[in-house]
Amino acid sequence: MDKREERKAQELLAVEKQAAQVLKNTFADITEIKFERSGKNDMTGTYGMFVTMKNKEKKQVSFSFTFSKKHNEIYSYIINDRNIQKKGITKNPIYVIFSNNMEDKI
Amino acid sequence: MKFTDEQYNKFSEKVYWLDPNNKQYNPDMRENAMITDGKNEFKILKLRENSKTDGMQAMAVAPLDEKGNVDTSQVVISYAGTNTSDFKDIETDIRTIGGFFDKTVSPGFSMTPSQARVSGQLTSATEFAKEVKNEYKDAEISTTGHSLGQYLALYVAAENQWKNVGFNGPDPYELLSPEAKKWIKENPGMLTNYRNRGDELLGNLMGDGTGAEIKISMEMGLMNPFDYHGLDIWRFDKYGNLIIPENDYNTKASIQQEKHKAMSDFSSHLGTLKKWREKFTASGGHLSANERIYLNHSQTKVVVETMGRKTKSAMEEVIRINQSSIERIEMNWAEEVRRAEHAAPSLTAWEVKETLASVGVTWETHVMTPKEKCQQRIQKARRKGERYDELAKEIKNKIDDLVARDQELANQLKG
Repeated sequence: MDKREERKAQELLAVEKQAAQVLKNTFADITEIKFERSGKNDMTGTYGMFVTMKNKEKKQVSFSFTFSKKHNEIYSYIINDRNIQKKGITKNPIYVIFSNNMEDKI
Repeated sequence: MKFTDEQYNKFSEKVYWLDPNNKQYNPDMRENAMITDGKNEFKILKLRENSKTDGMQAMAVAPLDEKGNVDTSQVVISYAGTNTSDFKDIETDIRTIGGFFDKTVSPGFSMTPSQARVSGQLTSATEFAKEVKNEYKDAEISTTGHSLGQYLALYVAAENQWKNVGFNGPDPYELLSPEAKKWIKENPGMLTNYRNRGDELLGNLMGDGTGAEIKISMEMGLMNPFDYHGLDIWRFDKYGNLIIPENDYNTKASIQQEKHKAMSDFSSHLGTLKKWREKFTASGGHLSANERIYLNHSQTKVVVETMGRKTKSAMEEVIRINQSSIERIEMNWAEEVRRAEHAAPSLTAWEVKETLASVGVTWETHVMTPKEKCQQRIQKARRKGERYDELAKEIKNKIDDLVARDQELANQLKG
């Protein structure tokens, strides 16, 4: 991986961490988020992300959302399961698997 | 519900992710899927994904009401902009927007709506809009998009006489039909193309024939050119209105924004009245005298309100121009005196003023009198605005009285 690609990968990881925090502030009772894939749209400046999210009942949902790093906000997301995509805040640390397979507690 | 600038911005953004050529495309964006911006929910009514043909992507959405039912009385169509990794999008930018590669004219460059320019994404965008229109006949349809997407959205809106709000789009005026051009002229403010002054990619290309442009200085400093063109540069207030930063350059943009919003509200109110008229006459009957009075008065009320907002904008413009004239008058006087003193260094400041006065140049003639004239104009504009407000209030009160008195009609409207 050349330096430019490495820098891009680092930047993407930082944005995924930022987005994970925003997801915690958007949904209640989540325990795990796995970033299946993410990337930037250079034309719009926003990021497209596809995640699988688990809740306290060990149920999971996969959905896409778009994220603005600049505004630190989710632009919009698809509702695939309202029971799991429950609006609210998750205060406990959650397990996060990033698209480069790194793992962290956030 | 009335769609906000912010919602249009988000629809313009979301539609990009329909493109499977985009590595991060969103596979769960399908027809009947629910989408939310965190505040409101919308249903994706219809999608078009043409990556295998001309590269166009489009999406039609409708909001959910308080009870969670889809309200198809209002539909937004959004078009995707350029995906830089898709040759078909780049080719459309060059051929349709730029007018290049047109072999039907010499030397391969066209400024007319030739078949070569209109074919591909522009034709697909028009067909998609036609299908949505046929499926949702009663809907008030509007369009949106970003960049190439806004170009398509402006074109479709003008041809169908719909409202448009979009971002950083080149202007499609030269490709529009004579009917669309006539409609634009008669309905200023129905198309809104928010452009960033510093955008040097696609956003400011092809002039502003449609008059949709609201050009804003975002005071971004030196950045990557893509950042100026981005969709996430725009910010919105709590009501979803696009925030125009306060600076000298943006004064015109702020006034334009107010005018566009007044026009769009006007059109929306008239649409509601048209629906009421249709409802009253649905059974084949004619309008009763009361119904006719009510509709005519309501129409008057809408006109009065719109004119009020336009008058306010115009008066604000008069006041602004005169205020900046006052500032300039004082600066000019100071400059004139400084230059005179510089030209005659042996004279004292008092002697310079005496000399200037001898040829009729005094503080009174060059500052006081013009300033007083400007101040009079400002006062006059303020008085006019106040008089209009009083008149508008009087008319509106009379109409409200009329409706309140007619209980029978009120019940009909509720039903």
